[in-house]
Amino acid sequence: MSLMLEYWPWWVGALALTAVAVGYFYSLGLPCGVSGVFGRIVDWREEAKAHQTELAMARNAGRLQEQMMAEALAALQDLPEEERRQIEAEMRAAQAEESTSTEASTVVRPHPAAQLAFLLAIAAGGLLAALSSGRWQIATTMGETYTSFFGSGPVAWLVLFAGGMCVGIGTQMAGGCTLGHGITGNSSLQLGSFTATAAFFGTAVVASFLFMVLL
Amino acid sequence: MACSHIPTCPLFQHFQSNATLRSWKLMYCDSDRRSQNCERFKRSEKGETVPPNLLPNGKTIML
Repeated sequence: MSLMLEYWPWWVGALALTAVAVGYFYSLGLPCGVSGVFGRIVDWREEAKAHQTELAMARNAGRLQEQMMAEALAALQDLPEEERRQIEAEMRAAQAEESTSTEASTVVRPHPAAQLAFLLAIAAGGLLAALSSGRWQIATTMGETYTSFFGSGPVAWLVLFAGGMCVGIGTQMAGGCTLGHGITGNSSLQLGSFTATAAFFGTAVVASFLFMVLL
Repeated sequence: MACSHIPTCPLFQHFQSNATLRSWKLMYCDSDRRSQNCERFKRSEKGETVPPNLLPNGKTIML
């Protein structure tokens, strides 16, 4: 028996996506995004090293705080006298206001293997949805609309490849895409995310109209 | 205007812990001008990997 005969209503999908973004953030302490994961997997050696460093920082929170405090006091001495006095005055004011110090916790990024598992799970989820709805099939075209614009021959494949390259380059330059900027970044009122989202949605709208007119 | 990287900087939350650590924030995070001197900011702007234990003054915390 098929588990999903129809597509879910749009608002159910929206709630599900929200749950994923919020759950991702609260379980990992990181904003949810997919395109950034590709970059981190390509740079897996640096990511694995950073993961180990963050684990050490999380496990040695007391020593971490001590070292940061010692370095802070040393860095203060390197400042020009006027700037140092100004900062010390602000520190004294802050010290007078606070009653106790707290210890912040270090967010440990997922190991690259876990990030790869996240990407594979996305593909697996799509496969499961297609299988359960009886819609799974090996497709060699991108659908009627795409075929009407670019045909189904070598030109279509070339356009697809070039478009994919643009997506890959663009998401790395922008540091995110529809999930990272469109949902996570915008919801936390990031100016960079507003800009990126406006740019890629605006470009997509213009490109769609151009394709309709020209092709 | 404060450093634009504050929302995603993993060290920033540590700078709120006490008055001494807050000096990092005062020295490097509280204005655009000061953030330009932050080693983490500089490397991030160049697209380089920023080690989690790199302090704003370029020193590395060893644990």
